[in-house]
Amino acid sequence: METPPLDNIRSLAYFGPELGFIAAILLIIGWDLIAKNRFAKLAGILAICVAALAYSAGVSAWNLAHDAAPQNLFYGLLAFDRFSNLFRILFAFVTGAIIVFCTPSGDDSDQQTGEGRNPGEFFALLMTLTLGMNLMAESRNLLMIYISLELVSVISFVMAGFKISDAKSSEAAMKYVIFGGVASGIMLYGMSWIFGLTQSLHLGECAVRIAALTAEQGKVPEVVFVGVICMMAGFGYKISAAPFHMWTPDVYEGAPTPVTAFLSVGPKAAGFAVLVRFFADALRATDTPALNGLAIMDTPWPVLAGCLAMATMTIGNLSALQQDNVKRMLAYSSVAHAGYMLLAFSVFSEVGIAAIVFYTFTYCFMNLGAFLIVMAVAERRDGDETIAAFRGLGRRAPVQAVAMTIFLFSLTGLPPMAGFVGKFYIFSALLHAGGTWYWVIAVVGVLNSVVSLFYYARVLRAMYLEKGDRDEPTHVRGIFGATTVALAVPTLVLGIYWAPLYDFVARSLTMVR
Amino acid sequence: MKLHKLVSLVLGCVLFCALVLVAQIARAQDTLPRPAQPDDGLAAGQIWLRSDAGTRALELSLSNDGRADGMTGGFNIENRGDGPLTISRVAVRTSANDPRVPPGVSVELEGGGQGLSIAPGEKKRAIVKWDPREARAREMYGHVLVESNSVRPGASEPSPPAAIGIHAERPSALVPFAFIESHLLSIITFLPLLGVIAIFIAHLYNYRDDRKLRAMTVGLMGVNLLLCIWLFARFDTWFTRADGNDGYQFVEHAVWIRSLNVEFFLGVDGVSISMVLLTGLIAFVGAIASYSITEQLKGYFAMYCLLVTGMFGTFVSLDLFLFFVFWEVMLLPMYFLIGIWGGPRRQYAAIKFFIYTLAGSVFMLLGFIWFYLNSDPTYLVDGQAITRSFSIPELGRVAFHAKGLTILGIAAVKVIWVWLFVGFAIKIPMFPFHTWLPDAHVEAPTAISVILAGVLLKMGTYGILRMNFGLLPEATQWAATTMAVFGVINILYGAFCAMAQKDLKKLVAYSSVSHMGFCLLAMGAMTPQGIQACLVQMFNHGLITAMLFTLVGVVYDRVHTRDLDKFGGLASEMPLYTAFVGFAFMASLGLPSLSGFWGEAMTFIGAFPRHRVLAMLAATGVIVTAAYHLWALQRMFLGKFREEWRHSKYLEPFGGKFPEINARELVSIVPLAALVLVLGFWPRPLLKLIDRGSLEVHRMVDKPGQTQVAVAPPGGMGQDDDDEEYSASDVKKTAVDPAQAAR
Repeated sequence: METPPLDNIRSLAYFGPELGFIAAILLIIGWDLIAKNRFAKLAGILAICVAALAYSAGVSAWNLAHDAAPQNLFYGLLAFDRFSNLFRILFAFVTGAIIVFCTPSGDDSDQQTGEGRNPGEFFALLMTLTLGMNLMAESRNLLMIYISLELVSVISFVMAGFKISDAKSSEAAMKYVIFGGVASGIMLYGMSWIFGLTQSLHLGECAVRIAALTAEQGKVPEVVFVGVICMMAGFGYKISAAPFHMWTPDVYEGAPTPVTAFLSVGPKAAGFAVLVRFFADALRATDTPALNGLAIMDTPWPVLAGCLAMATMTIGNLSALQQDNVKRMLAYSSVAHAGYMLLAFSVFSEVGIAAIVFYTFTYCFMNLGAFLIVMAVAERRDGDETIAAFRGLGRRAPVQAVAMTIFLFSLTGLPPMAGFVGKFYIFSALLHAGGTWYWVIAVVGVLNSVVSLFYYARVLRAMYLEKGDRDEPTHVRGIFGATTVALAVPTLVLGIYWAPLYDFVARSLTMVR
Repeated sequence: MKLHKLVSLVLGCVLFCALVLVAQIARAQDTLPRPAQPDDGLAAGQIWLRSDAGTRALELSLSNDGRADGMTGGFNIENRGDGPLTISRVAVRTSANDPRVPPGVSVELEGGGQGLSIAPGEKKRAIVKWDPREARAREMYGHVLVESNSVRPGASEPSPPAAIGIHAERPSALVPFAFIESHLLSIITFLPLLGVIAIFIAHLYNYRDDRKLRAMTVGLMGVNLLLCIWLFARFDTWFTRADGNDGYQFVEHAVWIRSLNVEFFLGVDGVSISMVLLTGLIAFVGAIASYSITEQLKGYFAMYCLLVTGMFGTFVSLDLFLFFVFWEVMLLPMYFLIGIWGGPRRQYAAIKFFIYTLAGSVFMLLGFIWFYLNSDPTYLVDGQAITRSFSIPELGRVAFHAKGLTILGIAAVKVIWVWLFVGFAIKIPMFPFHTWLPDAHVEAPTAISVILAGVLLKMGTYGILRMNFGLLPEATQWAATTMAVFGVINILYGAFCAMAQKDLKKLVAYSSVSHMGFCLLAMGAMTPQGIQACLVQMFNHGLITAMLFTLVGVVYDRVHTRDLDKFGGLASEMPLYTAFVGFAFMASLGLPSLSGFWGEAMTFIGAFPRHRVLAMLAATGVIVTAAYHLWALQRMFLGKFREEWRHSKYLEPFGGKFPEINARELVSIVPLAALVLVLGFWPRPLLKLIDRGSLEVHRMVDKPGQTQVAVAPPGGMGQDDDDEEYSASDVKKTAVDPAQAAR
């Protein structure tokens, strides 16, 4: 039941959110030029951003609510389906949270988004990035995947290096560029193998051709395997999976904290969206032998994804043990979390995908929250982001400390926090699939979450068990305080009652064919 | 300050948008289509059950005709399909060998036998009655099954019978008390959380008088203890599975997360009731012992209350998911309580405790998921048909062993058994997983040591009895001897380690290792006496060790050392204290006429028929136990008083004399000592309390007739030939009150 592709003009009707972002980018640039005083400038820009995001999320939610029929937009370049609408909502939420992070403090010199630089620049880039992520989640064409991935990457390079006077920030951007260039080069090479084999860039057509070849040979053709391995370089780079994670710690440490928080959640989620769609769409990798005629365990994909997951988790967690800089530690932790999500990915089932997406939602709250607190603490300590800055926080800023505790326990995966529920679904997807391989990686997975407790607990120890060098209370900006609470409450509540979110996610995974 | 206005403006916008979004998503929830009915041209009836009130589950109420002893309720069977619906049977879900509901429940279609075919759009009413006079149960949870030709849309195989949950609470004249009594377990569990909230509010309002928080916590724990006594008074010791509700009392059962089949399911039986009472008592004693804490009281008592909630919840939850949540919730406050208010090496001890327990519990979690995925179809409490379940009583009916599953090439039941066991063994703690215990005990403040030894260690043995024994009986038989061997190692190793200690607290900690070994040995015997001995030992060890740790705290508070070699002749300085320590030591070494004796004696009685050599080896442990207790007593209290203490800075405020044990300390010790003495002479109340529960556990793991066999059953997994496999279809064979058969 192929959905017939729509032509360019008719596609525009389904392209509203992206058009909104494009309009927002142009408006921001325009307003940046027109507005004279700083206050009006900021107010206008923020209003435009919020409007664009609200529009994107609102339209997507409306589509989901009214069960809009799935469409192949622009002659099959983009997919319009529940899956992409779900991710549009997620991206709008993440970007909205980041905008709150970026709101400058009262004084003129703005630490977070670069000293004395124009706010217009930053927010225009942020909107472009969100546009890119939306496109990633929607791409149904190899070239479109590449372009949207590059759009996100290039903007990320710029944002990572946004603090031009800061050598670390520039170093981060430089490393990011080089790794990104290599990764996307390899990816493009892999795509050319797939294209060479199938004579098509459209994922649906690739799938038909690959399925025919698979049926002919009785196994997945080696060419496809090589192509996919090369493409994994690009996907792995976006979700920071080992061994493509090398850039993560340096970039996360060097980039301005709001950008780091954004990179650890937004592009990672988009990377998973495109990864999931690529495997489900082009390779028809599902646990029900649909097109390939092969059981999923007869294909190389579960082993590939499982090995990637185990390596990613283990490397992320073991490296995080040594870190003294909390941002760097969270960077490695985000590598480890990509590993957990890859665990569920390796199952290639409906349950597994639901687990990934649900985990992404919970991860969003807890990881953004953790970065927010790092930012709030560092802001009052002249940018000191080491564990030492957290000493005695339990006394100096109890609310922040309690919130950080919730976020860190959630990241560890302890009940009754959202992270536990996320992990629970991941492991239950693995065990549901059964079989020796999944049991092995499940065991590696749970052992990893024990290891992760150790480094998260170092921050807890600093906050509560050690005495700080200063004893006066740390006052955190009101907006940060409010956002902290706004992120901590869902982290806790979703750990106690998550049924609506899970049901919502589980019903919104269908992709267009 | 324009920027601040701007910021609030933006925040307002964001919040507004978020609200709109949430509203949108909520709408999306409602309008997303359910799987559509396949339009295959065949007209089919579709069944739809709702109570008279329109709810999923049916709540029975007192009947209108004034008979105070009959409870009734009605529900409608509606045909929502486009073809005729044929009802073949309406019956209560129960059978002779598996009574799921208390006796006296019946159901009948209104208006007799006609109308068993229901036309599309029509409905038919059925009436459920419960006559509580015939039942012991205080409450009734069950299902009424309606078998029909209805096929679930999209399903290829025949659907299970539709069901509606029925629930009734025995009527009571005193309305407020009836409410409290029917929700006693959740009140006991969540009352301490009120303390956490109160402290949080106090913090928000900058409440400075932290000392009042102590009184508040003690008051809260006191109220909880009273509620526990209420529970004890109203607990029916003769209640068995035949009385319905799977043998659980004070059941509270509701759906929590529908998509994952997680239920809020509480209840107590003979296995858990003694632990709930112990927790109530120890939590109260611990709150009094917490008076020695002087720093950061708000945080301390908030964590303490959270810990108590976790402990109660673990013992009363009957849903694996809920159990796991409570199990882990207990972990978090413990980390902080040791880590912040502990001794010099508290950071190390706290993280060691945390990591050890978490490592065990993640494997337990994998085990729980395995149980869930391999369970049999059943119903949620409100009657929704489910294919998998977390409910412990339901899982107890599943013949996991007979499914012949494997994990990594090994029999799955064995793997899961070992994983669960290791998770629980870490908590007991069993050799070689015990190394966290001495560290945690030595560093923890007195009150936390009391809780740790008094209650937390028992969670390990409780978990083994509930999960390993209850859910995997065949694997338990396979591993019983190993368990007993480890028990003996624990007894001897713990005792010898205790003998080598110079730190009094470490000595008591190792004595815990030794004493918990008796529980393992008793369980490993799998005789009725053995299981009873395990429960008795758990309860008595809780009392005695709590007393011991409180007493250690008394001397530590005075001179900030616990080194045995630094004391001597304290008997002349603190005669009353000496008397209490002597009493506690005697109880701990198992002197007859004190309660510690019963656990050990019954262990030997229970273990001897199965494991003669092990029982004899364990008996030598008793000698070592006596030795280290008496030696410690001698070193500390007898002999000549060391005069250098007269000039100690700690004793300066008291004029160079050791101050005698004070009233506050006595309040926390005397109730424990009194119980130890009473139960020593008259253990019957305790035995009666656990009698049915231990027999029930024994029934699951041991086939009838094997109890008196002197040798252990041959190795390997016994084939369970009891007809223990029940399913919803059992109702066909033996329905209690079958409705009129269809044509």
